[in-house]
Amino acid sequence: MILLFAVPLESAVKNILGSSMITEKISEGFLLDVISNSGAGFDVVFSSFIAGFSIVILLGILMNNYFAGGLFGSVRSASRPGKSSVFFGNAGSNFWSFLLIYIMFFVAFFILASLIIGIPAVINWESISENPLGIIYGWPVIAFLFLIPVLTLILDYSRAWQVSSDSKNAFKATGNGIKLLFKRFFPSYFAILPVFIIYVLYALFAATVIIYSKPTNGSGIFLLFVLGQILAILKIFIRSWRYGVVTNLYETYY
Amino acid sequence: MKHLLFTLILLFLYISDAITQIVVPVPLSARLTGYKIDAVLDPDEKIVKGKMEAFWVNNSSDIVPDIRLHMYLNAFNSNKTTFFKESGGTPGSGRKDFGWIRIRSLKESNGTNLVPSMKFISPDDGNPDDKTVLQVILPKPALPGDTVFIFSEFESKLPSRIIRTGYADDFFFVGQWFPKFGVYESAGMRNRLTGGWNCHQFHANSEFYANHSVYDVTITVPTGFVVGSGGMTLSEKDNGDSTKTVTIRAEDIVDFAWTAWPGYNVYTDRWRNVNIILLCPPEKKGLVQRHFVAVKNALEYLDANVGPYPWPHLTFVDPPVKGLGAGGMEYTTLFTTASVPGVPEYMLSPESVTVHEFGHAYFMGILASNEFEEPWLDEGVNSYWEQRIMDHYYGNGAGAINHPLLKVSDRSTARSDYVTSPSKQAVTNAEYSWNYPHGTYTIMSYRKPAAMLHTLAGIIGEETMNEVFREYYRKWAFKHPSGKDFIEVFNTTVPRLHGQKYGTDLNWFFDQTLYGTGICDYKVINIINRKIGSMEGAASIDDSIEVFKNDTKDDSLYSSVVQLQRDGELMLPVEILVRFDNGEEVTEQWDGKTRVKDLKYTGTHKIEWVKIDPEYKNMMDINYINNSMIIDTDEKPVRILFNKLVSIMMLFLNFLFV
Repeated sequence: MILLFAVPLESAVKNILGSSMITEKISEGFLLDVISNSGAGFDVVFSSFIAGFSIVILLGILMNNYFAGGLFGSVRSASRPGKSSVFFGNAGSNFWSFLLIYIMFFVAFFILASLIIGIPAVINWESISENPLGIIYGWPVIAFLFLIPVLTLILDYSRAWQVSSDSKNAFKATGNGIKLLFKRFFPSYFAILPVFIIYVLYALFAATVIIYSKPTNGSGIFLLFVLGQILAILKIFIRSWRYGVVTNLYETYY
Repeated sequence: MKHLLFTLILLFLYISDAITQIVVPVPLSARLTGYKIDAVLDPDEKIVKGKMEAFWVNNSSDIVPDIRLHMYLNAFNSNKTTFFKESGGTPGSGRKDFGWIRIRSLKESNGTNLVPSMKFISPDDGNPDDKTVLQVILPKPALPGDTVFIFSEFESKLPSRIIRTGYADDFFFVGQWFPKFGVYESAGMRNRLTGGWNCHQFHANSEFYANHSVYDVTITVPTGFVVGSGGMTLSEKDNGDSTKTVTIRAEDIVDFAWTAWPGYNVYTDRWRNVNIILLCPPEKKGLVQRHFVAVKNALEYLDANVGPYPWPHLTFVDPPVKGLGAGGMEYTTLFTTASVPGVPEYMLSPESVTVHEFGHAYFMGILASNEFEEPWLDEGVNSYWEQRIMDHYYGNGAGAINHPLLKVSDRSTARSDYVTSPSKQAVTNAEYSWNYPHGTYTIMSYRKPAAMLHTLAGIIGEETMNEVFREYYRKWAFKHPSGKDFIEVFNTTVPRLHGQKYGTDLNWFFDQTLYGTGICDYKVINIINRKIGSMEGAASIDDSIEVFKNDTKDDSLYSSVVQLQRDGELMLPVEILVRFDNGEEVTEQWDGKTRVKDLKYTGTHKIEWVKIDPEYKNMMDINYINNSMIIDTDEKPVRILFNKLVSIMMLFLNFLFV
């Protein structure tokens, strides 16, 4: 999906640069000279990038919720694994309520982030320690990091409940999600914690690969592309694992 | 008689004080003005009450009927002042926000009351609401060689919206705060035809101009306040009434500013014989070493390439966030830098501000040009040196941002501003600072002149530039050079070093780049490689080639042409690098004067690529993309860039999709 707009953009940039050798400045990291010399051409590329990426995010959210419905349905013990009709049936029937649950999750996520990190940061702006990244390593951030699995558990319990229920009411599902989590909070939290540790390690690895890789030839570039795809697929596996863990908890305890 | 005797004794004491050396071993400047000020800060009313004794020496051959004083703080007295009319802003919502300076008494040395002969004038725009220049008609005109002494009591109310000067709660930055003499310029000085005062109003887009002076200042503040200034602290006395008085001496500087705030931490360091003091709030403790390293880098570089830093002291201030409006300003031996707590190490903005503002100790402080009339001569020249220092010490190509994902050189950011400005041709640098149209003050004062000097360095070489600046320092230190004087140093030094290689003078360069509005754009139009057959049977007759075609041979001949074009008005010499497919490279010189130029080659190898200005020395060229052309385009860098971009987007989406 990203490639759908990235490839034409890449062509546009190549077209702006033509047969110029200023591309050597890109490899040296002197992007500013390239951008400032591109004139109006770069403005078009930049606005196309913003528009394209926004559409990708929107479509991605829709698809993510569609496939999440299918995955949650597939990891239930009652379902027959590998059956596509089960997958797509669950994906379709749960789509709208999953979408609403997802939106509520993100609204809650941003409100809590503002309250826990944003407000203390604004209040203490002038007394942030000399640590250049003090704001990031501060206690509010640590507290919020511990809160992320809680929010995610509510989201996943809501969706697990939703898939096993005939009712397609997102609010009811969220209410049940909250109720289910706090009935068995610690077993749920510690069951999901390893998944989050894996997430963090994955994120660190992926960011390091992307930032520090400097391929010098065609095969290197291809390898970076393949690695990017592998990382994306890996993330899908980790996410499916998380869905499975939560569904299993749901079925075990409730 | 008693009164006269008392006055004479007072004058003797004052003059002897002024000529006494405390800070530097010998006077560095002519010291045509001097100030002795006792200042008391009222932190509740935000007012500084001052008693001032000051002198001005008529060093010209003119009979001068008046004196002129800058009353800068009056710029903050209403939104009708020239400062706020030009900026479009307002000093605040109420009187408490406003700033002003009022003279309570003004006398001459013989006790004559000068208040009745005071008059506010507006020499630049005739604005009757602007009271930033005070003219005082002298009871007796000052004859050549006369010294005019004035004694004044004044009150300075600081503005709440800090624009260089002002207060925020209990933070005070006190600049442009006392009645200050303009500069009397005699005929011939800075190319003036007749003598006269150079004392401009306070403008939104302008800085300052003043004589090198001696300052003896006492500052009384509440005991808990930390005081910093551009002078050397001689003593600090507790007055026993919850106040303290700091006695300060400064020599041969063009402005005296100070700051007081209970929240400062004081850090010290040393470079050779220079004691360096940094005042900054505790939350910026993490930046202290970065600032010290930056300022010592600048000291080292400018000392080596321009001239010595002559004072044994230097103070700089990184204001708290609430006082950031005071940041990024220079007062010679005092300057303010600017940063926000937590700025990561790969972002070098704190360093670049520190280096830039320190650089003004040279370009404005020692070489005291007129910032009102020729802002490029301090800001532009200083930006050039800032960029050299940043790129030298923090990595060429990474002097502004040095991150694995993004590296930006300090000079690239400045050049980028210039080349992308839609108004880069709107005006020349001959204009006064407040007359730059369409918001071009920054472009014309900082960016374009810096790009111009880098371009010139590309032509005459960096070491020649250094030698020119050393000569500029030798000739003009502690004087008031004009732009023409600056150029004259190039015109004498470059031919002395290189003969006629760059012409009899460099006016051809400055007339185009500084005093012209043209742009520079050289480009490669095309590369043509035409196979003309085998060497076998080829013969050269009068430079033409007669060929018996035999395309099957490996040693075929090629007639190759590189087509170049000058699109801009600027005609600058450029280097052209041509590479053939056997790896051979040929460097050509083009004086850049003709609109088109063809480079022709005949040989057994085709041209692979061509670059105009291969080392990107011509920073005035507004388009680097068209400076080069390659037959087989290398798309790898763009592909790598997009691959990384796609990977980053995927990573972002991965975390968005839960």
